[in-house]
Amino acid sequence: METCKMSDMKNLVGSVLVLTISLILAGCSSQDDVTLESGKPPTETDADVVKIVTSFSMIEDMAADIGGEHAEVINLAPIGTDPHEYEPKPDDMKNIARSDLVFYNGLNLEGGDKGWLSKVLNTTDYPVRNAVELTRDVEPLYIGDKDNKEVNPHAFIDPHVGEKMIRTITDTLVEKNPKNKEYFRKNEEEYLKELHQIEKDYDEQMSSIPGEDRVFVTSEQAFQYLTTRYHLKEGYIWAIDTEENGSPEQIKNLVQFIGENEPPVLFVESNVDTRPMETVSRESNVPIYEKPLYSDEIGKKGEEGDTYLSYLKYNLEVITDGLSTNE
Amino acid sequence: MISQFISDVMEFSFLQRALVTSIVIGVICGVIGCFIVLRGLSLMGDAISHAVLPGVAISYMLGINFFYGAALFGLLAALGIGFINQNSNIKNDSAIGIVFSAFLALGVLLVAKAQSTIDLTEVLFGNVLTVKGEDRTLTLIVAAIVLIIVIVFYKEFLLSTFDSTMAAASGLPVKFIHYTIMVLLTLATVASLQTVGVILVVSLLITPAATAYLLADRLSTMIVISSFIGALSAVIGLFLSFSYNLPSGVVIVLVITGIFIITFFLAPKEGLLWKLVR
Repeated sequence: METCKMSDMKNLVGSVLVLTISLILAGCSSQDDVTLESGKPPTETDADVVKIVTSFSMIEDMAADIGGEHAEVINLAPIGTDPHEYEPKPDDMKNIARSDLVFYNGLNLEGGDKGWLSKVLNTTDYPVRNAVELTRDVEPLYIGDKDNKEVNPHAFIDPHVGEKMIRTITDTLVEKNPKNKEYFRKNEEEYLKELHQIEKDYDEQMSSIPGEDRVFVTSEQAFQYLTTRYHLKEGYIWAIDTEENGSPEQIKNLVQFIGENEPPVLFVESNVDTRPMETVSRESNVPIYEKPLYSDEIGKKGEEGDTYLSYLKYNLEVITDGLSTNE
Repeated sequence: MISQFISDVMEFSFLQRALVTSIVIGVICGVIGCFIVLRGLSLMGDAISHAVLPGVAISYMLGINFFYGAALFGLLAALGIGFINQNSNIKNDSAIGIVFSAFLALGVLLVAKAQSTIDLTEVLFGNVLTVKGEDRTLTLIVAAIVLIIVIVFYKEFLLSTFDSTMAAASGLPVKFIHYTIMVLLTLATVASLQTVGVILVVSLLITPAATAYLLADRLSTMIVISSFIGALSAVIGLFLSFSYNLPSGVVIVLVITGIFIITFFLAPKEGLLWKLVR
């Protein structure tokens, strides 16, 4: 009879279902993250041109300067997009799969072990030893309170960190492509000559800002590596870009901070919504400096600050000029 | 261009995985979509796809695969809608609107609060190219479950879809069948999240089935055509997305729609063009 057959069938399907579901639950219930540290040197190649993929524009600039004519550099997150959250397109995936090296910032800039870059490297079965975290020798600073500590990714804002990143790039290229070792080292030497001068300028000029003006206010807490090294008091609206940006509480707190610390001027970054800072400026009666600071990215080609070195120089100028505004 | 795509498929394992996953998803959605379309549950399909967002957020917070949280919340939504329906005089479309907008808002809130790098864009729009091996396996398992159930209960689904009164009269548990289809719908939706994301799942569910409706006379034919269109769109969509460097999910949706438009005008019996000519 129809009903008997149905209940037999139901039992059969029921048991198959239970079995399958238990298999699923038993099998894979954790996120499949790739840890980006391998501790092994990159695989060697004696190609004439090393194919490099970089996570965002600043690293693209650094890699191109060191790699020169023996490197082909392709960038993933273009200027104007957020390197914290980038959605890779088919070409990006292809380029990564075909590349010899992937350079990325690290310190969770690209989302860390659960972020987009980690996912893409996982999906393309990329050999982890060829994916290099340029901030691996950098001491991380943290934001947030004791319970919610998060790494601050914006280490590159400090030229001394930039030097470590450049050295990591060159060391990696030398290990990867020993054939062109001298060429890379020569580029490094020239680059570092300029970078050392910039570091000296930073050291001198930042320490000569008068005591009461050493208050540095920006929208995001991206300048922590500078304010810590040079002992500036830092004020900001939001700690890190991916969370709330410009909530009433954040604005209120900053206005209070400004009242207590009296910075000569406020700064706003080139790649953020300017409205929260404009609100703060109106409420506290402190003007915003006329030029923006670069934080997450270098400028577009042709603009001021369109290379890492000029970005550092530009920022120094803006900061020292702004903070020496006398009331 | 085609030969370039074929050589890309040979070269890149992530593209192979993406193809397999999206073809399987195209087939599952094609199958379930037929029942959704015939039973007038298209809005429900849309609702469930949006309602899974809090489940995805919670899965990330707990560190488990997004699949489980999403499936749970999809089911809660289906049950919630049914509950409102049966315990008040609020009509079905209102109940759906109430539940799914609430779930979606809750989902966005949880994603914001989760403070991890859940990429909301990826959940909303999908990216089949970054599908992990584990997700692909889950998709295959879901496909197997869906297909087995549809095949085994084909007669019951057929009767209750086309003539629910007769079905009830024959002693079929019509309500249970409805909820089974809701379960299958939820599973299909959650599997499809990877390809096209929360916002566009409804396209994958409804458009191939609606296209097949214009072409078929019998349910079995409709299911076959619908699955075929789903799978074909996945392949063409990935091909175009690779050739022109475009995000894959949205291209697949546009391909499905394109196929629908062509069918709308040119289908042998129902095509608009022929009707005008007659």
